[in-house]
Amino acid sequence: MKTILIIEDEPTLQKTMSLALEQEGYEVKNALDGEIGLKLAKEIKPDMILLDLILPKVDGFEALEELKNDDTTKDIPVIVLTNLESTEEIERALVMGATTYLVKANYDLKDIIQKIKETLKQ
Amino acid sequence: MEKTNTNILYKLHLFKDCQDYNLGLWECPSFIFLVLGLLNITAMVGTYFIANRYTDQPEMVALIVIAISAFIFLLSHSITQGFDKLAQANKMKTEFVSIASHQLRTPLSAIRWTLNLISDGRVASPQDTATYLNLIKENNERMIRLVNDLLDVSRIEMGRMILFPKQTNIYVLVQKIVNISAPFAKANNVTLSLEAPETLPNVLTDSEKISITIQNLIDNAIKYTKGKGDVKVAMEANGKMVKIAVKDSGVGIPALQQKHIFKKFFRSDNIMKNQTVGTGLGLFLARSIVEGSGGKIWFESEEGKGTTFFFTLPIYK
Repeated sequence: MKTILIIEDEPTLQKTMSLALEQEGYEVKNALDGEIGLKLAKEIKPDMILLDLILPKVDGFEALEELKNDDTTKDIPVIVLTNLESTEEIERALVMGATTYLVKANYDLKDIIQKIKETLKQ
Repeated sequence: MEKTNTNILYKLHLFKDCQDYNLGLWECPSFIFLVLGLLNITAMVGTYFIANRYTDQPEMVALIVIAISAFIFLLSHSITQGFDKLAQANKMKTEFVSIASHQLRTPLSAIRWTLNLISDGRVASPQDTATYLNLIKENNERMIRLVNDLLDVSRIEMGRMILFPKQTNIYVLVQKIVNISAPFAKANNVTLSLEAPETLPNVLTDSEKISITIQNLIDNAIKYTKGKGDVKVAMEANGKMVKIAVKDSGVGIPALQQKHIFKKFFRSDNIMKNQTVGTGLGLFLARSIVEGSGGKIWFESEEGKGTTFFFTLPIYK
């Protein structure tokens, strides 16, 4: 079973996404801030990370940088899932090594699950 | 005196843009250009007559020309400042739209995904359905609050926030809010108490707006004390005012951020680390409402020990 780590501080988004992914047959771990997210990522080495950008303690960009600088986590695909949408932020995240950048408000759960499946297949 | 002048000029609709941007008359570029033009003409005509009369004193003429030039220079400086202010106002509007839409997107996505769960048949039991419907309701309420706050902010910035002050029993009002907030406090493991004499005099304020303000201050106190601690609301009559204090034993406000605390959308020195719950508008609105009622608002805070917000309202005579 593949494991997905969701780093998201908004309870409703975290709850709905977890439930949908669990029903799709994934094992889901949740982190409510960047610090716990990084710790969990290193501990459980998930198959994929869904990363929000605005996060307490350690923000998404800082977390992404650390994930990509650490040899044990640098190959885990990271989907940035956020509501920020400036070209600057998208470019920055992609340059830093994010696999995809998705704007939460623009997608239904099933579209995001589709992207996750595609990414995991690669 | 200047006030009436301003009103007459504004009524001519010549400087309506400046009024819309909340710029004073002497910051309004179109007004200053007009003054500058008139001054130039007067100066030239004046200099011509003076020069004709005092042909034997060229120093005097030179001096007058220098004085007029200096004045024109000062006015031009004023114009540049006016333009700067306009540009700044424009930039703030853009930022405002961008932050506001981002703030709206969070509850919007929450509602969208929760609806997805239900319509995709991912929620089985009626009990779970009720839970998720409740999430939709909560996020919907959050959006309504945000939009209302945004409208209030825009009213304040345009100088069009209207308060309806009337005699208000502040004791009853605060007690009601404390009762409403009790479950929220309990859920966060916070003891919420009210300390005030029942004999507290009535105050003159907009009771609806001040309720929102007090609710915001208490919510903040509970939110930032989360886990364990207490929030005390205290009221006392002090001269012509009633002083209300909301004291928490929470995380406190870092010294460096204290001077920004009443600015709109300010929630932390680093926007990326903002907590997503809350609009960042509460204290900005609180200050406008308290000051609009003739009171003052301030706070004392120490990191790690807690924060106390104080505000005063005039006693109803």
